[in-house]
Amino acid sequence: MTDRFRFRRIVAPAGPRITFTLDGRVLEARLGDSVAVAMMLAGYPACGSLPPTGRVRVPYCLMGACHECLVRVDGRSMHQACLLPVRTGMCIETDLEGHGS
Amino acid sequence: MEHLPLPAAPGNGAVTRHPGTAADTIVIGGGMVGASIALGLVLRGHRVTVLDEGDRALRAARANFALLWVQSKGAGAPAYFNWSRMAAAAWPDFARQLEAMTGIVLHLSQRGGLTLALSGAEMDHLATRSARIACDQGSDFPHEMLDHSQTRALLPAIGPDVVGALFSPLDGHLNALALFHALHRAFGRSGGHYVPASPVRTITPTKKGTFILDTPHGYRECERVVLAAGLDNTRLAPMVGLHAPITPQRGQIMVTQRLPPFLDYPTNALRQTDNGSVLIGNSQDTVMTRQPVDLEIDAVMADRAIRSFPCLQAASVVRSWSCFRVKSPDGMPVYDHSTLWPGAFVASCHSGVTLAPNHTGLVCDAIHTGIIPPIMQAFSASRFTLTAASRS
Amino acid sequence: MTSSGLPDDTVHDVIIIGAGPAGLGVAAVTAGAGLLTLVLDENMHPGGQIYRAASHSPFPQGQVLGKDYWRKGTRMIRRAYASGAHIIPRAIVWGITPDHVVMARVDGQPRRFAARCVVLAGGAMERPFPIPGWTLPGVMTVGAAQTMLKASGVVPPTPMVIAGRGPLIWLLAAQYRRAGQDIAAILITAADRQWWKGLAALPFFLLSGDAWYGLRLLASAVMHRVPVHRGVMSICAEGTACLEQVRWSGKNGQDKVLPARTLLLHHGVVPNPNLAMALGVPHVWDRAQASFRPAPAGTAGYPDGIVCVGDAAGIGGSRLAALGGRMAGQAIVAARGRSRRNLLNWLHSVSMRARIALARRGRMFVDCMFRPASHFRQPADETVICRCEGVIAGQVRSAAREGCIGPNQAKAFLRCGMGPCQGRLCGLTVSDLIAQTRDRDPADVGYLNQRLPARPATLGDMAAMPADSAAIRAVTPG
Repeated sequence: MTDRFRFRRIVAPAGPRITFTLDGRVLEARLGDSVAVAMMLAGYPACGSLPPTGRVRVPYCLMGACHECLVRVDGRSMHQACLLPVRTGMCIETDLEGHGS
Repeated sequence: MEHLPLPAAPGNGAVTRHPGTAADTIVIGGGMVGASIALGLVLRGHRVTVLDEGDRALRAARANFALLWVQSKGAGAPAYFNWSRMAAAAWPDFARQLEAMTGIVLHLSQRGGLTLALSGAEMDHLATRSARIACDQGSDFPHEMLDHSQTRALLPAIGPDVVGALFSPLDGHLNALALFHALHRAFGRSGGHYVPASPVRTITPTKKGTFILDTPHGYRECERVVLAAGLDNTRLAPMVGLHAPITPQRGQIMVTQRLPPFLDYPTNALRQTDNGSVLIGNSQDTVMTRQPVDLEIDAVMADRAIRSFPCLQAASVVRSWSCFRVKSPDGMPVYDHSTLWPGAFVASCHSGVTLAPNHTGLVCDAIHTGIIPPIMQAFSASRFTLTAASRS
Repeated sequence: MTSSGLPDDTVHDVIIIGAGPAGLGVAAVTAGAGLLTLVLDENMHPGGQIYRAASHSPFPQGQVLGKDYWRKGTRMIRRAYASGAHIIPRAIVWGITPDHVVMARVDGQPRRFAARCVVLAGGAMERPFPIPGWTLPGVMTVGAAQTMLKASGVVPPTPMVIAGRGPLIWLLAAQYRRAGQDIAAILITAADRQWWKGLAALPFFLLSGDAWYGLRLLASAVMHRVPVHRGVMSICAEGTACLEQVRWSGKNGQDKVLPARTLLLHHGVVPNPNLAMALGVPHVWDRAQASFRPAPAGTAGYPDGIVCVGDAAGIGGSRLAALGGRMAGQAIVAARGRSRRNLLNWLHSVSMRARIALARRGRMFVDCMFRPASHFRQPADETVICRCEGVIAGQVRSAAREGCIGPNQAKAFLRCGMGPCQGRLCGLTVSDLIAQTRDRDPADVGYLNQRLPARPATLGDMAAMPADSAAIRAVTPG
């Protein structure tokens, strides 16, 4: 899925390079990005799935309204990834099948 | 007593009308009680119209906690306990028929339920109340007082603050919003007529034995009128020679995000619904000036929920709401027919979910025949007006 | 009580929720007059949506994003800081008590802040735009695309299609042109009314200062040579696991297909109603903007000490928001007896009032130009309208036929609006669908009841609130 969702940065990033984990994968990001943007740039935009259909949730509005980008961060659920700045060592979990809870 | 809540299993939703019994009946109120009674009456062949309020009515049916609950009902009032227990026993059949009529799944589960105690005093209170009910019932009250480890055997997620619990196998829960939808859909599919945004201003009995109802859409005349208007019954009842002393009692509920299943049994204050969300709420207050959702009450409920189940600490509340329970002075339902104006009937109670099979069944029989059966006689409003002397 | 809350004993004169043009406008005035002013904003930096990251933009000096954005944004943010207002970003407000204690989560920690008066300046959100397939990965809003461009300099995958109606589409197209980002097509959806019906308001629009800006945007898009299709009647996002193509039809009804990895949707913006409604602010239906907005201040039932400003009080754009914010700030200062009465101040307030009146009338032209056609607000039966709970339009219509005259009974029957977004992405659609099915005005149908918490809050956060003895008695058995 990484290639399909290739979001691109078109300007030299401002913040220093950092790493965070997403469902156990170690990924790279730039300080100053939101968790949602960091996930999209890394090629893993899916934040979870919705019962009962199992539809995959991905960030939709990036402005705090749609609540599609809810993820678990450092053990606490229901963080809106679009409003949360990514930080070094942050542990992000989705509720996709086989990951997180 | 062999009692089927619905008179005939209507299969694909088609209903046979009983010839000769067609009556023009109006049910005032489209909440849980009104919709249950309206459905029972339409299945008994009445031509039924439900007059309901608008979208923003005080609607307890939409704010329900959705327990089928017997274990706390009627300490010192055995009639209420029996009435609730009878309803709980009728639920499996009732749910099956309603699901068949509507295609709406009710998620009924009757594996028993618990009341958790977070202190010795709360445990004592539960034990005293249960002993009283057991005494009234000649020991026929299936229940157990559990200590901490016995409680944990049923609910492994409890925290150290849980002293113990009362368990009764009589209890259960369901999806009350699905029930509410199903009652309305079954009523509509059986030929009932639903008129929203039609609050009744006055009811005037006529000499020929009919009633004239004044609504914003004009006057309506009917042979029978059933008051199932919740808190508004207090105002309406005297217009037809009835009495329904009801006080609103505010209750507040919070609901969390969907969580993986962790709770096998409902408790009186917290239950996990069929879709995984957790409902929390058992507040009771009569302060009408508080906000629709009082954050201080939410705070106390959240604190007790976390002490009961520490795994909930990080769970998110997605919504909270409050509504008014329909409470009589002794907490029991009020069912009565008017001796002054025959054909007028009142039904008020705050257990619209638990008692739904009774409302669709026996209560409708009583309205249909005009005879209140012995099991319902304890719920006459005359209990509030008669003196002790005249009662004996 | 679980003790993790940090009680903040300070009682602020004003707490402003939202650091966009309106909120910062209020703050500059109240803090400038010496009132203890606190601004809480949920984003990483002040500026609101329009000036998002203006002070921290990855593009230097307004490159790509525009000189206007950079100049006005940085000036507004600088002024607010210089006035002495305390600005806390990353503060997600979920509740406000009747005595104006604001409950928030700041950097993951529960905090509360007390105030004498609370200003709601939470701005707008994009109007729900339910089309078949809008839940597919690859479909986002135009606002989302702008957000990632402003804050991180990020663009979504190509080929890209933009669809809808509204000035923001032209702004994004201009920014993408400067950034060299390709747009496969812009699909302009059909309007609700003919544009010439708004001509009466055109002179005011031309005078309001927004016109020149708008014309520049349009010209920029033309120079971009992007294929623009007008009068689009239907749009459908298609694909199995994610977006693969966009199917659309014009006035002639013929289906056309565009391969796409990104579809950006936009149908204008509406006030974000949740917090104001949950606090009991009365709302009215705005026919011109086809949305609900807070009733004018002073309307019966308005909660004490709560003020709504900017787009949160009715869409007017950034210019009106900034002006309205300053007016509201002056009213708060005056109410505290801190305003100096002199000729200069009086003249200033008269001129501000005149500019507000002009901008409002000019706005009518914009409203008329950009109101989306009703069939986009009342989508076909099989379209998902509540993303959180997966409710489709047909379910709402059949509930309306079963007797649901308003969204709250429909919510009880169908669960639409019960998910984590609390109805933000389906509320207007549910009201519109019921209005259509029952042949009523949305004003009579009403909106989903809103209650606190206005954002999901953890049980731990809620338990950290102080509670009085009456609240404890209400819950504790025995």
